[in-house]
Amino acid sequence: MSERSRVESVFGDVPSFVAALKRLREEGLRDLEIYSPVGLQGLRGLMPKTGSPVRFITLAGAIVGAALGFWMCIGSALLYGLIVGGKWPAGYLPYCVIGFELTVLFGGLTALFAMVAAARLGPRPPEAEYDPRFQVDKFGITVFCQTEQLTPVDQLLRGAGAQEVHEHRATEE
Amino acid sequence: MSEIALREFNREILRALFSKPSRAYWGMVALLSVGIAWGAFCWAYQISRGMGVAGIAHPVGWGTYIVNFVFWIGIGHAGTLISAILYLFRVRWRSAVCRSAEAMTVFAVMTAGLFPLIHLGRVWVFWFILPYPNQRHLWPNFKSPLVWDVVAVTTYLIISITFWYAGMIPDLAAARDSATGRRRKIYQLLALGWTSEHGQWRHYLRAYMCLAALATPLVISVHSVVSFDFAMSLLPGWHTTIFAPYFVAGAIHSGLAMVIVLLIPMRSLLNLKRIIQMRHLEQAALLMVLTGAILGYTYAVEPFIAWYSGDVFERQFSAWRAFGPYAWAYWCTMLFNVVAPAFFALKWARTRLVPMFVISVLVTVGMWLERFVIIVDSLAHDFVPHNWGLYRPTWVEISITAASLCWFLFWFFLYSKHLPVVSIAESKESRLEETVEAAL
Repeated sequence: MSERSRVESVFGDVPSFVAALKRLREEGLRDLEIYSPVGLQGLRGLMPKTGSPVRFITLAGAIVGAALGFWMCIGSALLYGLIVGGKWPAGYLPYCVIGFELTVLFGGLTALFAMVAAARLGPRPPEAEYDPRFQVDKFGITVFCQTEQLTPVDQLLRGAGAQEVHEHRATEE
Repeated sequence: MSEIALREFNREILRALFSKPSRAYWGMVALLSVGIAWGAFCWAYQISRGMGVAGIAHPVGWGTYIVNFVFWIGIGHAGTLISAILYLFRVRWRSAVCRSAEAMTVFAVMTAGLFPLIHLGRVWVFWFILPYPNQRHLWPNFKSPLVWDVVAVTTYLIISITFWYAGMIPDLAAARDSATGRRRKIYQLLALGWTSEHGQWRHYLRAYMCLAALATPLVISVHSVVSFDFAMSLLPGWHTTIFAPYFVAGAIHSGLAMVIVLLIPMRSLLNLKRIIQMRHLEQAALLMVLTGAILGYTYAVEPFIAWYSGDVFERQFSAWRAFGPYAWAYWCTMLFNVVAPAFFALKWARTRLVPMFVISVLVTVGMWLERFVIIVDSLAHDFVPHNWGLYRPTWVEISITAASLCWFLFWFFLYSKHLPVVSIAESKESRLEETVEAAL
C-alpha cells in the first residue's frame, strides 16, 4: 500500500481558508481534499469538484416510483376487473394521486441511498486520520502533490494564514 | 446570531444531550408514561367491550378518533413546511427551529397513524385495509380517497423521517465526537462515518436539496388527500372544492402554533435562548398572521358558497352549523383561529413569550375544534331530518385523546435529550454566510 505526498493544513477562519483556496487555484493545484464544519455552498466556484450523480439517480428513482404507482393501480383494477357499464375497469385520473405519492416516496428514498453510496458513507467509525476539529470550528485543506512541490505548497498555505501545516512524504510498501 | 462563535454552537446544542436530566424532566416523562398507560388501558377496554363504549353511533360514524387523526396530521404539517419550503427559499431563521419542527412532524404523524387503528375496532385485522392485491377477495380500490389517504400518510411519514434523518447526519457526527461509551457507538452508527469532507458535503447538499424539493409538494398533497376523504363525498358541508387549500392552510396554521408551544418551554429548559432567539419565534408568529388570514377568508367563503349555490341542503346546513347545538364550537373556531392570531400583527404580542404561548395554545385548541365542526356537524345533520342526531364523546374517547397528547409529548421529550434539537451545521452556515460573501 502506498501513500501519496501531501500537505495538510488547518485554518481557523473563513477569510484565510478562502484565500488559500484561491491561491491554490491560481497555482493550478486541483488535487485537494477540503474539510469544513458546514456545507459552504457559496464557495462552490472554488471547490475542485462540484458535480454529483445524486440528482440524476433521484430522478430515476422518482420515475420508477411513478411507473410503479400506475402499474400497481391498473394491475389491481384488471386483476379485480369490476366492469361497470361496459367501461374499462382502470381510471387514470384517480391513479394520479397514487402515482404522485410513489414518485415522491421512491424519489426521496433514492436520494438518501444515492447520497450514502456516492459519499461512501456507512455504519462505521471515521478513518484514523479524521480530525474532529473540522466538525467544530476549523477548516482544513489537504493538497496532494509531487514530493518536490511540498515546500512551495507549505509556504503557500502558511502565507494564506494556515494555523497548522504538516508535510507528508510519499511512502511505498 | 453574529456574536456566537462556531464552537459555541456545538457546546450549547450538545450540552442538552450530555447533561444529566433534571428531576423535573424525569417527572414529566413519568407523568406522560402514566397518561400513555391510561390511554392503552382505555383502548384495551374498548377492544374488550366493543365500539359501543365510544360515542360513535348512527348517524355520526366518524367521531373524536377521526377528528384526532386529521388534527395530528395537520400538526405534522408545519415541520416539513418550515424545513423544506423555507430551505428552498433560503430563509435564514429556519435553522433555529427546523429540527424540532421536523421532529414534531414525525411524532405527530406517528400519533395520527394510531387513530385509524383505534377507530377500526378490530385492530388485529388492520392489515386488511392495506391496499395490495390479495387472496381474500378484498378489493384494493385505488379510486377510493381512503386508499389514497393510506398511501399519502405512509409516504409522508417515511419521507419526513428520511428528511429529518438526512438533515441530522452532520450533527450526529458532532455528537459522536463528543460522546463516550455506548452513546458514542450509537451516534457512530447513525452518523455513517461522516467526516465533513467536501466530497461528502457535495453529495449531501444535493441529496438534501432533492429531498426538500420532493417534500414540498408532498406537504401540499398529503392534507389535500386528507381533505378528499370528505370532499369526495356528497354530504352538505363536505362536498366542496375549497377543502384542499382550506385543509392545507389550516394544517400549516396549527403546525406553526404547535411549534411555538413546544419551542417556548424547550428553549428555556435546554438553555438554548441564544440559539433559538425571540426573533425566530417572531417570524413563526408572523407567518401565522398570514395562515390565520387565509383561514378567515375560507371561513367566510364557506357560508357564501352555501348561499350562492342556491342548494337548500347546503343553506340549511350552513345555518345549523352557525346556530345549532354545535354553534359554540363553530364560533370558538372563528375566535381562536382567526381573531387570536391576528394579534400577532401587533409587535407587543409577538415579542412577548406569554401572549405568544397563550395565543398558540388557543390556535391549537381552535384547530381541533375546527376538525370537530367539519367532521361531526356534516354527519349529524345531513339531507334527511329523520336521520339527524347528535354526538357526544365518551370518557373513553376523551381519555384516548388526552393520551395521544401524552404519547406525542413523550416522544418529544425523549428526542430533546437524545438528539441535537437545533441544526448545528445549518446554524453555523447562517452565521458564516456574510463572512463567506465578504471573503469572496
